Amino acid sequence: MNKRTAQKTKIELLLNAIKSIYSTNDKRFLVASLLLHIVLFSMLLLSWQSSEPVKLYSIPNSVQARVISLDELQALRSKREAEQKKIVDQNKALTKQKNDKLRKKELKRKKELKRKKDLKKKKAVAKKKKEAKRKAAEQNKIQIQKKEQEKKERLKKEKKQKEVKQKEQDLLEKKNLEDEQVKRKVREQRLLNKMLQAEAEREQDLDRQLDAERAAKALSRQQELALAQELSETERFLSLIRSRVVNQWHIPPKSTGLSVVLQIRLLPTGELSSVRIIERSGVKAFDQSAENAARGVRKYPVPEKRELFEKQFRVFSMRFSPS
Amino acid sequence: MKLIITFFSFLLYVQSAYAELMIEITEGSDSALPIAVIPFANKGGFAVPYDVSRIVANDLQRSGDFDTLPAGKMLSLPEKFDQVHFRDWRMLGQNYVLIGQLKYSEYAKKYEISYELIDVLSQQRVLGEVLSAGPKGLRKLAHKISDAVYEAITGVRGVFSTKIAYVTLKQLTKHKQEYMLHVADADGKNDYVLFKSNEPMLSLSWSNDGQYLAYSSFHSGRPAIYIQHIRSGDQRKVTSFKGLNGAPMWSPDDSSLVMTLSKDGNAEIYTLDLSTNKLNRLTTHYGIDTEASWSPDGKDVVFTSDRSGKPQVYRMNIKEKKPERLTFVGNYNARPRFSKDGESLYYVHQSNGGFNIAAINMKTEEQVILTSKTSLDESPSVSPNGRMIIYSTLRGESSVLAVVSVDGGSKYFLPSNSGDVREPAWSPFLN
Repeated sequence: MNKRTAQKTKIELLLNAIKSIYSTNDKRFLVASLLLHIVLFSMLLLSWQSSEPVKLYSIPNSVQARVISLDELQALRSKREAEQKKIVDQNKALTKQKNDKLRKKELKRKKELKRKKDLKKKKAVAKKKKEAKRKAAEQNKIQIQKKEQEKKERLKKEKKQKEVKQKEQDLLEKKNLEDEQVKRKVREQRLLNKMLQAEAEREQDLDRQLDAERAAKALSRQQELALAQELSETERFLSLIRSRVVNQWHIPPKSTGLSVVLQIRLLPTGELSSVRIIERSGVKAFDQSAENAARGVRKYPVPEKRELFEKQFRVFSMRFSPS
Repeated sequence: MKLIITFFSFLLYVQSAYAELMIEITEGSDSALPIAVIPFANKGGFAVPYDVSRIVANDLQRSGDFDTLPAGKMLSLPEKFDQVHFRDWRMLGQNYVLIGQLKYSEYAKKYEISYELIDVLSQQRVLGEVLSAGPKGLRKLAHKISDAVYEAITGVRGVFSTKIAYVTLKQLTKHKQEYMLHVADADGKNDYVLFKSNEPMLSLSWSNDGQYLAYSSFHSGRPAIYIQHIRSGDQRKVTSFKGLNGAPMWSPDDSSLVMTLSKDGNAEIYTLDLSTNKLNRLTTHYGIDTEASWSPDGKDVVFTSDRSGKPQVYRMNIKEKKPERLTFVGNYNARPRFSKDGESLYYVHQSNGGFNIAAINMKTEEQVILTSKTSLDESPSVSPNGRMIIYSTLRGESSVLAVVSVDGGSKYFLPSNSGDVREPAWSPFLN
């Protein structure tokens, strides 16, 4: 029986509290909590939606990234790591700032609440005092009335006390409720923070990938440039070699339509190391004429850059086919 | 790990990309192939009627395919392979060196010549032979060496041992001329007279076995076609129809002659079967058709005809007998001769008032003039290896023989010691 009444009073209290919230003019709490919920859910949804394509990004990136040397890679990696660390730090600072702000806001709100409560209390006390004075004066005038009044007053007082008590209780209840709300908010905030952090991390991942991609692109562009330069350099020496060989080639008569391919090996000095026929024409004199043309070049023009020489000119082929 | 794989795959890619490197050479030097023909050593100091190595050098130089080094520029005169200082010859820009030695056997009355052809660039012996000949055979022996050297280096058979036939004209008195039919070595030396007449001789043609000459002559007072055996000098009159009997040419299998006859009223092309003496008329046109020549496969003839109003070259299948005009550039294109591979046609072309030897590619129909430095060129005849064309041209007051390479390269005149030289005909390969 007692339990039930206690429960009932609790429910009544809660209802009253909700009613009081609804009835109070200050609806900011409600709006704030609603907004917060909307924001939270939208964030949750958004992050959930965006989690799929994020994975997709990572696949082509690793393929696109063309890297030349391990040293450069190492450098690039450490650079990227530093950048990432910076980004993480920045993000941490940002979230901390956000949290601080939220906390401060909450504190402010609490203070405001307290201040209003105090004001109400004060007002109530002042009112009570006034009533008492007036009642004392009236007591002096009419005794009977006094007693009745006293009775009434007592009743009133009781009622008021009751009211005050209830108010206090309400307030307490409200406070508890708010505390809970705050706690929940804090929890939610924590969750939000976690989500934000996750989001930030994901963004960081994306950024990292994008950075890597950009770096890779820049690298490949550089490579392309180097390659183009190398190619033009190669082309230059090829045409020099071609003209030397042309000068040395005495095409035997009736050679139209014949074709022979030689493999040439050179020393870095441009001297001929060896000539080998890798594709015969079937006509001995023709093959011989090509071989002699290759041998006839006293010194092949080759690049001084050893790397390019090794790549292109140490071993190459020449096709002799008179037009 | 992934990066390492990427790195290596990139390396592989680079490797495979560079392995493709190929330089395309489609042109050669315009200059002739440098060769040093070292004067052959004559250790015994024997008397030698001919300077063999000099004949070889001249042969090679004249071919236009070689550029011989003058003896005065040689740094050494090696006699054997191990005496050749390759660096020296390389410095002199020589691709080949020909060395040789000469001995004389008093007992056999014969010269023994050993020679070696050395490739300077690969430092290898390409050719080596020992030949012997009597004093009179030395010239022939020299040409044989030239042929061997030419073929070893170019892959094409040399024509230095072949012969040429031609007609000379000598003004005996004011009204009396002497025509002589000569046969000589391809270098114009060693000539002898096969037939003599006070009447003109024209259109010499070698049989493909190299044993006979066919020609037209007015020897009997009116035109007739003769066949003469070169070795014995035996002469046979083949045709002496009424009117024109001219321009004979042996078919590739030597079984018949193609010729011009006007026995039916107008100059037309006929073939004469030499075993049956049967005539086969090929052309039927009121215009003049003459100077016919066989295609290498013996299925077609090409000839000159003025059926279009001006002399132009036509081709006709001897079975179908439908003429097809081949030349369209210029107002005068005559006396066609096929190249040895049948891919080109050489003929006399008139341009800017002069007459030149021209070539037309049968596939592309592209025409080139081969003899730009001579004018009034006549009667082209192709060498058996298809590399040269001999023709007659006016030089100063008299007619001489000239040779031009089929690609328009080298040109030279054959020396002559007897008046006008005309109507050259290059023999086939002999022996």
